[in-house]
Amino acid sequence: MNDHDLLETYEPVLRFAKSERFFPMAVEHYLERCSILPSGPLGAAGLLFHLNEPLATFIGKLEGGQYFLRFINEPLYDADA
Amino acid sequence: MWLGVSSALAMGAGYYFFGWAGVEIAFALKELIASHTNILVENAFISMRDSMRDEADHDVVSLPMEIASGDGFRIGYQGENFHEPVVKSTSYLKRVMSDRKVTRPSVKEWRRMVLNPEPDWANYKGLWGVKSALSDESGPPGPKWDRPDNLFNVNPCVRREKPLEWLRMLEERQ
Repeated sequence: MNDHDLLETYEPVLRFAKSERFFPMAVEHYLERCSILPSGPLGAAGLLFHLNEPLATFIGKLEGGQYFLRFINEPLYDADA
Repeated sequence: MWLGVSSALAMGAGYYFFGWAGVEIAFALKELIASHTNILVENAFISMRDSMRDEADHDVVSLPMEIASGDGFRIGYQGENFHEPVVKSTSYLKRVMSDRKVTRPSVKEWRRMVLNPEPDWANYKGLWGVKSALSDESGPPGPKWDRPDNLFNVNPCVRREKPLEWLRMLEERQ
């Protein structure tokens, strides 16, 4: 059994509630529309080394985890809630 | 989805072999018995929705309407499901925000992709969604998340991190 056969045999089947607002999608397409933002000082410094680079080309090279991605253009901030 | 598909190789076998699917099927069968649902009718799984409403969270939840055992056996509605009734949240804020314009992926079809060799993005260590100061509202950490510090840590969302435990919590409330 090769990798594709193994994947086909044990592929997860996902079903969602009608109220679900977040669905799986291709990572590359997701990253194309995302902005990356720092959640700490180390993250802010790390992003300075990758200005003007497409997100998909450097996201895996970032040190540490002080980052988060924003997909939607008009996010609901905590203050809105 | 590609992240999800990759998990088929990384985790899928583990879930199925070690009983994840079994737990899920047990939940579904328990519901079927309790609600006296005829699984041969088209709306068998839809009819359970109202009884699984989470009023505290204003979300509508239900068990997966299609159940896969991992060996090719599947039950549940597998056809076009756009005619299923939609239950709106009782929360004004969530109802309004749910009606906002959404961005949809340009590619609708899902395809299997083996992540070997590992793509660059797989090594990303941050959050895959927005970080929020509210508990349980931050985006999900990725598989390479390694942030033990308290200052920037996030509280895992039970609904997302441990869905079966969340279902148990809902059942206990009822």
